[in-house]
Amino acid sequence: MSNPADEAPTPARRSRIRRFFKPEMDIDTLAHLFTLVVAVAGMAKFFYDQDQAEKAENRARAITYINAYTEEPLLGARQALYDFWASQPDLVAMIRSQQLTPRNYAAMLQASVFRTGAEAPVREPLLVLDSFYSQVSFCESGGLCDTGIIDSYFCEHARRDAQAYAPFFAHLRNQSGDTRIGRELEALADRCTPPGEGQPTG
Amino acid sequence: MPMLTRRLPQFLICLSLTAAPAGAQPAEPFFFLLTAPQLTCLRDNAEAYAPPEGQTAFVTLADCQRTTAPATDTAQFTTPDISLFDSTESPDTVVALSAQDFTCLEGLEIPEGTGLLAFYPERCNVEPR
Repeated sequence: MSNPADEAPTPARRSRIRRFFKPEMDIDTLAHLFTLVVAVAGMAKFFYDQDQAEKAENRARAITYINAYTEEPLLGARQALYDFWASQPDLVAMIRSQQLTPRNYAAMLQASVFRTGAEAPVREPLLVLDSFYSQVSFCESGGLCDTGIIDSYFCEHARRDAQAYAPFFAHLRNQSGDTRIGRELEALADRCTPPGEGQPTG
Repeated sequence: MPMLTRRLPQFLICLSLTAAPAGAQPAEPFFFLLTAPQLTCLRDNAEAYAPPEGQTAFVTLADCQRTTAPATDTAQFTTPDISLFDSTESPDTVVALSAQDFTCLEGLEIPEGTGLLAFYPERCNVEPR
């Protein structure tokens, strides 16, 4: 049980309050104080609303990319990639059944795909995929897309695609001299957090 | 200012050269990292493994000497699940070789030793690592 004497303002505190709210304070001063409080609260509300609106826009942009992933031209590009892998059943069986180093995987592709030019039908789909991930990565890293949504939906896709297509992008970089191909996907896959692996930020 | 105008063409040429993308780079020759017994096994079974002209044979090195074809994967996917691990010390688990690569292997002298060997199919040579 607390002692009422403890709850009573100490003389020093009482004196501070009295110094601020003097008995002779007129209605104008109180009105000014009230206006000041309202202004501060209004500013806080303004910034809060701004923040909420920005977050809503970021969520909407992230969802736009989710929709784009299931529409043309991404849908066609993914279909072409499916057709490519489906045309390589022995290679797929081999790489799915064994643990490979990235170099061994790249050498398998060099030996069986790039050497024969079998990757030609997926060059354009891969550039479409790269361009899409570049946009997603830019949107996310620039704070324009909701990181939580981007990571939840795209992180696993990005990691899987970055790993599977790394030798393809390296091949395209060698062929074209464009050293940026596949780099944004790589960066996104490195920095994203897949669902269940940690708390997304943003 | 007149000097700048006179040198403008040279300046523009320099600018275009620096702005142009780097030219296509020759790809690094690929290689398979194998032990001498693995490479010897591939060489000794070259006839059995060699695919028809224009095709590629996929060989799991743990299964070398068994000549059954790998089971075809019928899973539906757009990107296959691949399990990769970083290691520079481990020999490769699988190789993909053409008919020419097996012809090359048949005439290849494989160095003795316990270390890893890098087999370069395109150069048709083998180097200790």
